[in-house]
Amino acid sequence: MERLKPPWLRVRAPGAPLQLEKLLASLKLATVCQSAHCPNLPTCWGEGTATFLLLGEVCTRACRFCAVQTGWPGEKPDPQEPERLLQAAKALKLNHVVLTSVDRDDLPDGGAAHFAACIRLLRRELPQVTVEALIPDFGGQRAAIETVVRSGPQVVGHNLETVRRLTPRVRDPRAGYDLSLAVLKAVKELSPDTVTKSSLLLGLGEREEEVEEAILDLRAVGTDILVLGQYLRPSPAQLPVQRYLPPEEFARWADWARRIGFQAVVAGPLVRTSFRAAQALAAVRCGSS
Amino acid sequence: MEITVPALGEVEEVTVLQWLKGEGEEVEAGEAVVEVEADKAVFVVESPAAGRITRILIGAGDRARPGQPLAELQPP
Repeated sequence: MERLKPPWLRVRAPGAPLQLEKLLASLKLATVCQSAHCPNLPTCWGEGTATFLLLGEVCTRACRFCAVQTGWPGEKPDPQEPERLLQAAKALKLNHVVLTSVDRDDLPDGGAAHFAACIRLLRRELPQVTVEALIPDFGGQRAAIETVVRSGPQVVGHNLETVRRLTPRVRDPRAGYDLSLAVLKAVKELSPDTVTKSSLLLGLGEREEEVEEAILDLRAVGTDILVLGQYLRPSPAQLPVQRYLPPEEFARWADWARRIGFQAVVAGPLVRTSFRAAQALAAVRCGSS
Repeated sequence: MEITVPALGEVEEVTVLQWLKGEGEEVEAGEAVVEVEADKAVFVVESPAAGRITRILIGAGDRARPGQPLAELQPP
């Protein structure tokens, strides 16, 4: 343990196995909840929601905040995964399905066609369900971004993760601050009605004016939903936490971000990109956050 | 019945920080009984049912894996 946790990083958790665990294991579906050691796992899974991790559990990138295994999978996407995902969405009676994936730089389209196949199947079979796709940068390939956007998700997320100065230190060298902004901009250009979303992890050593710049940059490319969460080190192998921001500081950033035009802001120490995702989308649709 | 370390995905180990209830004590369903710490957060573990804690299996300062029993619970 790196240091004493502040009191706001205490989470209630049931001391018994969760039903969702068995279902996901039987369907051989991965979740980012598990891979990221997410502290909200007991909360979300206890409520019957999860964020699915598509395209395997090995990522071609090696971001220094992330616990997902790095490698070069080299395998084609599992053609049965969309169907299993559909089964899970039905079994869990999800109203809002959040999909994310590892980065697949080993695939020519970065996995975009597989991502799109999953979304299309969900949209076709469960038309009342909304779908949120938290996508990688696809190396900036506009065609890959378009493939996902045209499959019809209501929300497309792509995370900026950190401020410009810290990006080379925090993210994989193939990721980029401007590249991520370009991905979010491209989504809006391709489909202005698609809700876009992005997250910043705070507590990595960023300065206040740098956070301000990042939030303004996200707004400038039309991002609708802003997510701000505390960086939490998943294991001793990742970057140490530089600072634990108190809840009030998140609240101040959230107030300011709403004033400069974000349609919804989800901010707090334990907030992650897909945490309360359904509520964030509802806030956008109602025109308030 | 057992009180177990919460499901925490691929977290390998947690440390038991402190017991909020002792052996022989009665607990309600959902009552906080023990705190365990992972790298990202501290989890306040709730009893899955009402009963009496008959035996604590992992003491404060010791480590355990997700899903591992922390204590035995006897229903009333």
